[in-house]
Amino acid sequence: MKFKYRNFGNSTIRPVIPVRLTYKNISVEHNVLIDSGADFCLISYDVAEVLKIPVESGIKSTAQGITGNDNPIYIHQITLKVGTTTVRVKAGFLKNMNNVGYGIVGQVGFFDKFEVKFDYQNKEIELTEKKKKARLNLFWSGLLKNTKTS
Amino acid sequence: MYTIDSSLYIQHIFSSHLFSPNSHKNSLIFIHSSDTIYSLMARAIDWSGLFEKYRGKWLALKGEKTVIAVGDSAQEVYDAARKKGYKIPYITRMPDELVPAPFFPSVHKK
Repeated sequence: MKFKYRNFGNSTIRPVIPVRLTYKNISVEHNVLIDSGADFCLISYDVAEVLKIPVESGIKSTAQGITGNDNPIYIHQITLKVGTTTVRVKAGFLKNMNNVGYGIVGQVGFFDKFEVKFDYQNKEIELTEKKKKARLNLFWSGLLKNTKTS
Repeated sequence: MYTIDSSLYIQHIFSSHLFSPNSHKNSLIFIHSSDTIYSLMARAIDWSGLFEKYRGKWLALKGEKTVIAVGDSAQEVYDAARKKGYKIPYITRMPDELVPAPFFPSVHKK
């Protein structure tokens, strides 16, 4: 799956992609920044409100920003659909993420599920689901094995 | 086949050399110049117009650029889009300002 970067102007071009977030039977399409420097996924409270997630009933934890400030978060399991691929993700919900305008997907929950290729020159991000890649590898290795034995 | 330095190529771009009406006559020399060509040709989805117009606002979008609802909260634009018949609305918020920095490296603590 290939996605385009988004250009917000002033040379601010970011790997922000649309995903579908689902909690129980409510879904919304929202943007997320693919952030290899983030340990896990973070979504704003505002989106939690839309998804009717009882945020503060989740597992309480803390997210620390680059400035070292601690911010309380609550973790909930949600479904994240990227293109045609659906994965279950434990995401942290954080207040005051408003300024950035999108969620963040990080190492746990995204990079552990997708192989991510950033191609800044072509302003493209390519995602491959790891399970699918593993299945393909198995298929090709099996085929190769059969070819060798026959 | 000629190759040229990226900076030269950029100089040519800015001196409108390639954008002049006769540019095609001279542009062959740039074809194999460098990766810079791809970088300049490749386009991200342009949200600069949306950002300028709607900074700080929540939007419901149809496709990548067509605004179907504007509001001050996610719930407001979600509800507005649902009323307009969009079963799973696409909502986003334009940043208040563009701060060139990473946001949450997010060290996870118990």
